[in-house]
Amino acid sequence: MYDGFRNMDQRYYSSGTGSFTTPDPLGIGAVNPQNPTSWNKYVYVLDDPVNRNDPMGLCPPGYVEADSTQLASIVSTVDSYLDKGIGYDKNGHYDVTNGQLNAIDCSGLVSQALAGIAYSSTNFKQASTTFTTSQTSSLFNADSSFQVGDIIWFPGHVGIVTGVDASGNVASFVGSQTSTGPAVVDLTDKTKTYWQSRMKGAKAYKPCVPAPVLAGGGAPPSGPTGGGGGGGYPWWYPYTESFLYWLDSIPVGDKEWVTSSISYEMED
Amino acid sequence: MRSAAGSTCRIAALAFLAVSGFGQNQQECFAFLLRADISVVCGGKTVQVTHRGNIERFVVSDEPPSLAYTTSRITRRSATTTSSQFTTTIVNLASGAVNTVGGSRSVVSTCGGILPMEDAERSGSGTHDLLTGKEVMTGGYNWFRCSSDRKIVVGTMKQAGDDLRSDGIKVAPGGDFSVYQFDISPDGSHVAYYGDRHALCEFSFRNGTECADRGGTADLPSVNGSGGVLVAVGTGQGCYYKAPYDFSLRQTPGTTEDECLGIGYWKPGFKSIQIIQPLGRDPHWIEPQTAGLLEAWATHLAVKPQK
Repeated sequence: MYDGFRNMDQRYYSSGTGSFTTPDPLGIGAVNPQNPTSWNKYVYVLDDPVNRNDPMGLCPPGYVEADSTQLASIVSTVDSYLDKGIGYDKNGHYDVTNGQLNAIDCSGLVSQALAGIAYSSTNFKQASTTFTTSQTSSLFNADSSFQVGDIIWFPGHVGIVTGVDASGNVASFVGSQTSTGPAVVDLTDKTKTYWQSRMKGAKAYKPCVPAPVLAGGGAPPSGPTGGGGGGGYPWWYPYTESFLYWLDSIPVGDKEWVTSSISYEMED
Repeated sequence: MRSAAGSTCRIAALAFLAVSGFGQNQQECFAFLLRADISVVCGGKTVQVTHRGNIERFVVSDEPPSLAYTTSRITRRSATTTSSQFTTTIVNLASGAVNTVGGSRSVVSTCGGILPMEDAERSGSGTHDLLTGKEVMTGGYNWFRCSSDRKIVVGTMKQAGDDLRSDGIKVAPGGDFSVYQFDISPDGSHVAYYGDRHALCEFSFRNGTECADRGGTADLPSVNGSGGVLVAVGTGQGCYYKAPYDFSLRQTPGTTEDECLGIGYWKPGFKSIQIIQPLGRDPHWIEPQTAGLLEAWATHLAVKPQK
């Protein structure tokens, strides 16, 4: 039904060599300047394919796809926003009045779910922009099929998958819709023709989270942080949210120059 | 032969709807929110009552006949978070007197008054009626609604888990309904709530529980003494939203797209909710005489410009 979601594998993997046969399409986005292993763009999850999981090859070095426990935590978090009388926030991500959350938008809801799995998303912006730019290319792994706990993205909307049918199609998701605030969208409901038509533009993403520390290896980069970069990395470190946020704010031409310059430095 | 039988079935079904559906009883009137203003449907006629364009929620009380509507303004804004100030304006439809109170994001018409929608337990021993200013004792209920004469109360109590109860009778099991989204008819005979998988359900003390095949939205259901329920429901069409309470079919700058909401009608015996207004939300049953007072107030406002 949703053929648009298929065939999204980003790289070709050779089981014989344990390496991809094409470079990571993210280029600079997949390079950690402080981890030489990551400079080789043909390496699969820091040469540890057994203990790490990055089947699509799009999480940056030091990051792996969220595991099943983390995906369950994401679902549990969004569920906790249902039936609480919370509305949709049209003016920002969150409306907090008198210490109470009155309203939340779709990005805010997904942000809260991700914050619970060590994914700091303080610079998470409107789904219609950020999900298609820096956040998508750096910390979300485009998925070939939907799984419960995945992020589901539409042009202008984002949510969390809470049900998948036997054919792999999304049966339900939780998002904060303008009309309802945080609510389940049940796509098995035949009257949900509006959302069924919007599914044609939907894509699945898995969040990338900091990888566990390698035994005997160097510490992986700290998770993305808000504010000044944190984790011992300066704000301009390519994976800090401050950097991505800044990168997102500059003109497209400058952005290309910055990314190509850093890429050159890393590959040199 | 088969075709003829099928036609008969369809005719029979249509006849059933015609007899039982909304609109057959000219005395059934309701008010709802359309493009951030209040409209009234009564006797087959629709009248827009306000022309403010900023009403987020509202309720109507039949006795004493009153209207309360809520507006808000942003008081603080940061990169991600806003804070708002909510104001509820209360209009005595008999005298025309207007009063404003701050603080409540939402109000509910129940117990023969208009009450702030909040956890009564958390706010102290009780809550207060915004019409009279008098305290309303809650009898140990956290979230509750009651009949106009306050003799029949339905709600949740801490010691009874999250069950929805009325005087020891379990109306709905905890976890299956939202404490924010239930209603009792003014005569106390029917309770409407969203049950398992958010399906619209109705409990009557005489006939027990029955549920529709789907539910409504974040708005409250409204149930009357004959068991008819009004809800805001997705229509399947796309709308453009200036705000959650202000949407239309036409795209304008600054709007975002989402499913349209319309007004749905359901009562036990119906499988599905019928859409009776293609656009709108926040529906409330009102008495015909209250509808008349609202229309008279609207006429008065048409002469005196609204602030």
